[in-house]
Amino acid sequence: MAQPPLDPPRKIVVRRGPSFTAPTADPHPTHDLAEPALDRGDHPAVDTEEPAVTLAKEVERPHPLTGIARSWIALFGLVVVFGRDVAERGFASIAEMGPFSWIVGGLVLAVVIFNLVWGIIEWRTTTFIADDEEFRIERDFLSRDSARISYAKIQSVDIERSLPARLLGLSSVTIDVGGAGGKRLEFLAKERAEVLRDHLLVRMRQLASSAPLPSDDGSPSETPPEAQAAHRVVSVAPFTLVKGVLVSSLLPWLLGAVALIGVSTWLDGGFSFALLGAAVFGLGGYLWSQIAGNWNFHLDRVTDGLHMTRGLLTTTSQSLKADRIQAVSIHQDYLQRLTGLYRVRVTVLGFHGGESSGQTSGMVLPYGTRDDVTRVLAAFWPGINLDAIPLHGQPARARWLTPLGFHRHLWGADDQTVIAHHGWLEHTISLVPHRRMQSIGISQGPLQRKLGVASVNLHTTDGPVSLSLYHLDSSDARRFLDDQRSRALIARNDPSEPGYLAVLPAPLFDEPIHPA
Amino acid sequence: MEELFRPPAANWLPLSPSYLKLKYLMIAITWPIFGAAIVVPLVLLDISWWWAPLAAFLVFWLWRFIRASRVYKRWGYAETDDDIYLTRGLLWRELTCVPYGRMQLVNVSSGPIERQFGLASVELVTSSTSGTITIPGLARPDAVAMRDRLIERGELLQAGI
Repeated sequence: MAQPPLDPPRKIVVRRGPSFTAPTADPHPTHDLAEPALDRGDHPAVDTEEPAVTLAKEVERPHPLTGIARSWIALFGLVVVFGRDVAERGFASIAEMGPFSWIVGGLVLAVVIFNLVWGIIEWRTTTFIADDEEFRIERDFLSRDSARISYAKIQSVDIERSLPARLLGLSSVTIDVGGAGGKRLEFLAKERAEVLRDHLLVRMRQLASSAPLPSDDGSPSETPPEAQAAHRVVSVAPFTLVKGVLVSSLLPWLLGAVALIGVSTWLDGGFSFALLGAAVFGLGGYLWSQIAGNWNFHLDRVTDGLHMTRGLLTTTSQSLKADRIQAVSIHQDYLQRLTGLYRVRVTVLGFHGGESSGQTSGMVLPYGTRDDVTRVLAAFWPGINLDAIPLHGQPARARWLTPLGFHRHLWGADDQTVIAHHGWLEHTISLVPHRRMQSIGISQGPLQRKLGVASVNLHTTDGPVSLSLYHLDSSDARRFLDDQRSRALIARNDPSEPGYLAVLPAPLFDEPIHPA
Repeated sequence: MEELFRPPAANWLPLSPSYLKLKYLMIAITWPIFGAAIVVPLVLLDISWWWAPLAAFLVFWLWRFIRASRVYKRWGYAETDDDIYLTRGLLWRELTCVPYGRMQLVNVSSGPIERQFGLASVELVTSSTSGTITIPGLARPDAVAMRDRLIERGELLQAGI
């Protein structure tokens, strides 16, 4: 059943956890996954009335029944393989089964035993500590691992209970720290899991409330985006969309397919339906997904973020908070330079893990003109002006490494954003604001060393955007790294910018609305 | 070290010398397996020029030993007030700078062989996979101390994502 929220006035967000391990199970999965998530945006005050969850400093282990919960799936399979026959015809039927059944049964039994042993090993070798100071998960089997998670970085704590876990009174706890490094504890007793989750969330909030909070940020509204006064940023007209999809790198394939069908008709003297079918399947499917998927795309600015709607048959509606956008790429492929259309993608925290497919994920403008691009950018990063950022090129000797794209590799930075242009035939502009930079690196291969150049890579949260400055003069590269490091440091500590934790994990709604 | 990879502080801190010993041991154990896989069939098939691949392998093997110490010397890390720096690589050289405030999780791990040498690796996980760095070959107590230092510093600086 749903947990009572820690702090009643806060917004309760129902997170749909990762897919169940036992798909056979539960008719109402969301009930057990309901958990309070905390929205700090409307609560700038320091929490003093927190329910104090104190834990003695002790080293704990997962639950002893972990092995049994682990081997459940295979055990279930074993029951399915043999159980039905046994139920229908008694135990004698097992003896009558052919060798194939024995092999399958044996394999499944082996999996059961393997999982059981593995679960027992895991139970015996895993320990964790969760106290006021630290949260640490250790494993000491063949190798000895010890992971300490920063309380300040915890994004959400999910409790999952698959059917076998429920039957045994167990829960698994998944600690999401955003991006790459999540951790999962399997399995804990249900009550322990809940206490642990509450403890983690309380510690997370304590750390967050001790951090400097923005004095005055527009308090995010709790009403759903649809109900807010929306301001249309951009909408993609059907003609633009069709033009964008057709006049793209798809066009050569399309022309090739038409030519192939024409030539084969002419040579064979007969029309090949098989060829036509293949072309329709291959290219038509892609065309359809692009056009129908992005049909009637529009992007609205709502109070605290953006709201996107798109789709012909299935309307998809997504909202994303502006402060969760980490990086932007503006892309134009070689034929789109004829139409002057661009696509804009963003890296959004929590986006890539969603249901959205790779093709559409993070797409905030399927096809649009330069003006559209400017409007989209201004919608989430007001004040940005791409043309105002001074650009630099590569040193002439880098021409050996990029003979074709030499003139198009440009880079620059102002006091807010790093920008990089790439591409010879294609054209990509990548943008990362300083306060969204995670880390920064320099790399230099043997040829680059001979030429005295080096590349700088800006690392942001994983997503469709990457930003590298290729083949800078070695001294420029190092100076850029040092400068960028301090620019990012200043930007992160700037109290006028709402820090990430000040406007807390608003989950991204990604809900298809099916027309009746 | 050259200007591009100069240390942010006075100098780069090296990895534990045991790490170089571990590398030597690994080279001594693993490469002969590959060498044998090439040379032994030639001997068994009674091919007269079996010694040529063997000689080539021995030269290669020796070169791996010499190279290991050069690679080892390229490793270096440095902790400053706000960031940790790591440099590595002989042919492909890298320098990475990770702010403490960006670290989500710090993982200290010792594989079975590392344990014999009392070594551990420190993996620093940020929300960017490409920015995740691993410092191998630290003495286990140093690695644990570094982990706690980094996390505590990170929770203090606490930059969100």
